[in-house]
Amino acid sequence: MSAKPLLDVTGLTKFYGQRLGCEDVSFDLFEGDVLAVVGESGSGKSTLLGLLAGELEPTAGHIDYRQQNDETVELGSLDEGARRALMRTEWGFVRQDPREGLRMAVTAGGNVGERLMAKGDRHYGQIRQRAGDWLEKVEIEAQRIDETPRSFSGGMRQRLQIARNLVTHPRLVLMDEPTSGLDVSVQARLLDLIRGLVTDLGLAVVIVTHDLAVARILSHRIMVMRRGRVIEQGLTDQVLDDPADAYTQLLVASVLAA
Amino acid sequence: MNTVSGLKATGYNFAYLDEQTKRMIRRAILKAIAIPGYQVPFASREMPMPYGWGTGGVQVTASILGKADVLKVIDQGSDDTTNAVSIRKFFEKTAGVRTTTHTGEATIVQTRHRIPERPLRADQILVYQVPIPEPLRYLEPRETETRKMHGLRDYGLMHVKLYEDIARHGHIATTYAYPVEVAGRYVMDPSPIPKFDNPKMDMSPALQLFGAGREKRIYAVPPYTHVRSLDFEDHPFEVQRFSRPCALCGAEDAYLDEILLDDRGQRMFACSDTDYCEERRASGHTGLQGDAA
Amino acid sequence: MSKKSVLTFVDVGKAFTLHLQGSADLPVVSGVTFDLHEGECVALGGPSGIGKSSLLKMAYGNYRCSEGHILFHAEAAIVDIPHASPHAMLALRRKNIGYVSQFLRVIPRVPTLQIVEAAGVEGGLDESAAKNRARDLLSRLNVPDRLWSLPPATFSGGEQQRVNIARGLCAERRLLLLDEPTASLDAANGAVVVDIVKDMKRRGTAVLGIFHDDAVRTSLVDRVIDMRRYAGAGTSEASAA
Repeated sequence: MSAKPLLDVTGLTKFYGQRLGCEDVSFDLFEGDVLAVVGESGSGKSTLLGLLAGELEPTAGHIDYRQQNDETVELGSLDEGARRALMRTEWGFVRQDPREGLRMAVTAGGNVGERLMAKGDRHYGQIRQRAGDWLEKVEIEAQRIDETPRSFSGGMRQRLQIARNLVTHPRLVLMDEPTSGLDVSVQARLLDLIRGLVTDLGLAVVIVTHDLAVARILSHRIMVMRRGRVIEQGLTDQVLDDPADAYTQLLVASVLAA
Repeated sequence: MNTVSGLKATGYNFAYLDEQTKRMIRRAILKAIAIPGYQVPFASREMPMPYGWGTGGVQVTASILGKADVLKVIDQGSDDTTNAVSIRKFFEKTAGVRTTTHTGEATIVQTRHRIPERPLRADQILVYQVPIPEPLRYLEPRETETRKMHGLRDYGLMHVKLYEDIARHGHIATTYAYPVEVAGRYVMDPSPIPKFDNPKMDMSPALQLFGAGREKRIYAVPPYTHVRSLDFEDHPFEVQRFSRPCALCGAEDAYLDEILLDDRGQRMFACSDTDYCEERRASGHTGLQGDAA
Repeated sequence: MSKKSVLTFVDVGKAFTLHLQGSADLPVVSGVTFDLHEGECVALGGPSGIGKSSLLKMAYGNYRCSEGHILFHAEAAIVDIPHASPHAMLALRRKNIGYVSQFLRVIPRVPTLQIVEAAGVEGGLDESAAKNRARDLLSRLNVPDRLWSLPPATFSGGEQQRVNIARGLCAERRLLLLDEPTASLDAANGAVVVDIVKDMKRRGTAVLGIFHDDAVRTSLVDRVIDMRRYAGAGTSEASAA
């Protein structure tokens, strides 16, 4: 408990010109913590994720990340190269649309192996072996290793994207609505898989979702956003079972059995 | 002075391009030499030939050509294909320089898709015609992104291409335009030369210049620079081997073309570098079909 | 006998503010003040709707408090549950505080034995101890061992409930919160639960619970707190719990 958090976000603010993206967002995240950011579209949750991923420049605030070597770095102070290196080793980003997170013309094995090759692995057999292991972990049959994701279903593509991100054993994974757009049964399987991997690997996760049921299943903590601001945060079961803010009560009330 | 005499001789400026343009291109070349393997953008000019016919190489050659130079132009190793002949004529006409088909005699060799078999010397320059300078384009079409990847030496993707080769074909099936790492830094497309030629680029005494006209890029490998072909530990880089020697000159160390002899599918394998083959035959070497040729 | 305090309620009050109904305030409890000691089992008494479940949930950090303090006396420090950071609260739940209700939060696709075992490991047992404890609990609670390797999602309601209890009781806890864990269990299984909890009490676990079953109450409970004393200012029927 006394250890420093993995991620420490303070006063994060983003304006697009005059328009508010998000304002004064603060939270911390420890190893193994899963934080769900919920809110409707336009609430600022995607802006927040973009800021965390370093794809957007904050107007104010900072993001401190404690690296594998226990050194804490401010994300904004990293140059592009260091930031990218971090993103493909210690961080992962699972995108809503797997077509954005995968290389659709590259085989499943190549998709999973890319991060390994990017960090310098140069043994084809070992890369392929690890890619195969990961396909298995995300429940894709090993013999499909040489197929491109074009021939995969939506759920498989999303699972492949997860394997591609986790193969380097990242410590922090950002997820943007990873289950939306999937059939309910496919969604349930994916949620299961994510939860299992998160527990087994002790991953810290920030998952953006508009689906309170997803938040309930996956997260330990919830942050409710509206119009760019955090209006309520706390333990997931606390926020969902005893919502304090009017808007959160409305959100919870409008969902069946979240 | 070249300018004046060039103008007098033909009505063209020496080597066609105006001096300002040549200066601009030379600056690009100098930068390219200073940063081996780095693609330098340049303001490619309209040339009196279509893109794809070597406009990049021609502009580079025009910018480095002096009156005393001896120019050789090859296309896939041959001096007498249309492309090679017309570029040679172009410079004969616009610059009045001497041309040759002998690699050993040339000071500048402009090439499409081959490196001559005869080892180049320090007083020679090899100018490559390049269709697509970006080795990462196949997997990452965004130029903004590939530039960043070069800048950050973020080359995992290049190996993805080779990985895909092995996954699909059981070996690295890329046989030409095989990517190389230059001076331990930039990954470079060596133009569509056969990978057979890749080892010739490494520590070559000759300056190697690459011009891509349509894509407006110039890059270079300075003399005596390490050029390493990318590979995997368990799938090391290998050049093509030929199961037989050249049918005409008997060479066993040269890159061979398959040549159809008649309508019944009779064929032979002979040196793609015609000058090399002829010189060998002139000095008495002969292959199995040496007489027939 | 002056046993160490495990949980101290100090003037704890709770009201729900229902924003969707004109911001009506629903008082649940107020002024809750009592101490729970090591090895002690305290039952919350009173009619339904008086806020017993709410108070348990507040002690677990599931419900917020409107006022007061719930002090958990951990080995190293005292944690004020309503004011603890989520991180600290999660750690408390993992290591120190167990909460068992009659409802299994089903974890699909994880085998039963593994679910129970994992709870033990998370609570600080080493792996072999957790495995032994999980096997022991499951067999004592009459979950047939042919089911142990299967996920509980397809089990009968009673079997799921017993898996849930095994899971909730696998780790050694400093504090156990029991919300009618034996409701709808048959007498034999109810007695097993009582035995297991008694063992834990003997090892020092403090228990705070709601028990409607008289047999369970007599054999387990040391003291009853009558929640009517703490009914929220307003009607005692107003609780949302």
